[in-house]
Amino acid sequence: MLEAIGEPIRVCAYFRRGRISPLWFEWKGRRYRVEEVRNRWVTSDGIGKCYHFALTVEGGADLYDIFLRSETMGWRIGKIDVM
Amino acid sequence: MERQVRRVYAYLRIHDLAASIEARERGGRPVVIYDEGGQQVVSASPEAQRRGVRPGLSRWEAERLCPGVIAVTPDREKYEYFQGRVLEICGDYTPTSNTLESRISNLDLSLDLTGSEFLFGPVKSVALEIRNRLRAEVGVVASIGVGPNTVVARLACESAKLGSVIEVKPEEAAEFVGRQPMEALPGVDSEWAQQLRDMGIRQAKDFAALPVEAVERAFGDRGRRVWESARGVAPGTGLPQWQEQAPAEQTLSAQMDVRPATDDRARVKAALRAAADDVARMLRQQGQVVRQVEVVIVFNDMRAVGARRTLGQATRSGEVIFRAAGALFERIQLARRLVRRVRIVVSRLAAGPQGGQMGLPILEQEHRRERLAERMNQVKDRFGEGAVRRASEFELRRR
Repeated sequence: MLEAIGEPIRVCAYFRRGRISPLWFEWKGRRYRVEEVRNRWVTSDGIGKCYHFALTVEGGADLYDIFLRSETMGWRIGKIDVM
Repeated sequence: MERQVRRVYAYLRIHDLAASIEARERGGRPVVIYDEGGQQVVSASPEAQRRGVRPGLSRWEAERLCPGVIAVTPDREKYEYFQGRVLEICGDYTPTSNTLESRISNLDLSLDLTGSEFLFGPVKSVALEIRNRLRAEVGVVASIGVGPNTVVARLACESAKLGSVIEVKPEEAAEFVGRQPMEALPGVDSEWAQQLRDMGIRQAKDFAALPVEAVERAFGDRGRRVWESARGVAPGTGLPQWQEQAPAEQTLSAQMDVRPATDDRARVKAALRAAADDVARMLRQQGQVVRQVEVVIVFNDMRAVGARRTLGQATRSGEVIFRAAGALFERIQLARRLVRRVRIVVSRLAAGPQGGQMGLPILEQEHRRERLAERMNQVKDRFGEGAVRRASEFELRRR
């Protein structure tokens, strides 16, 4: 089941050779360590670009969509696909 | 000399308020707003609609019709501000305006313009001025219907072309309403409309021609109110009647997780089978049938693909829905991607015959399958979801 969230989060990520790799993110006071980035894509919200990452976290089967907005350089959690 | 005051109402529908505002901020580029799950269009800007995108379409279809369409996360605070601007503009012409429906997709307002013609000129000119100001000052497209009561005004608004104004004068009201189909009248749901059609009553004028005593005997107070509406003389403002009418359910869907995610087509088909059974059960419970089946395959990287087909005949059979879904799935290439979930969405719903059976299937084997599905549903209703399952569902749990 998909849950739309859209809340700001804190993220630790590598920016290397034009590639972004999230390592962990903090949401609602809890830190989630990224296990695997399964997909990445870029969308436009008409003002700037949004860099999306579909990823799993350690110890869970749920799939998270987090994204970085180029306009604000802020991270948000978009959706969670709960198993 | 005393002036004669006639009651005049306007019904105003602002189409896709949210998407229009977002598009305006982005220089008129096509914009859509999806539902919370991000899979279905709830609002599309006029630019996106010109390319065929409309509310109710799935995400993959919207992106296919309008490549590069911008998906925007709804910002309700912003829309409330613009809704306030709309009310301010209407407030320049009448102190009596009611917000009847406010959604991301449409905003409906009813305005009592009685007496405004003495201040601002003919009512149609007032409606045109409101429409033009909404377009220029807020950037939204409004259709407006004008009539002697809110029922006639709303029907006029619904028959108006996008962004136009239609006025129905008091002397034309009965004829105008009489031409409408029964389900267009307030308080008439699709089930009742079907019953009336079976009795040969299709248009409002057919219903209005019945003796009121017979209508009251057969349908009670509700029948009397609808009978009055059908004659173009809605009681009071008609407001409570519109609020009574629940929005029609447009689609039904069921989904099934595939755990763990797999590229084994047999397991995916087992999931489709279970989802088809769930949809068929919902259709039976609601007494409805469907004409369109859509399959959405969700992969374990959040990508999704879908396909849709229209059935030759309306059905509520789980077997028929599964066969259609299975055929659609055959056209989808997995390309070694792992399937995490399947979803079946059925649309073009209509009221069907009561009870489980949809007429007599041609083949005895199909007839038996239908009876089996009916019995399984009865067991599930009584003992819970897990009480009885198809053997194929155990495929889903096989690792």
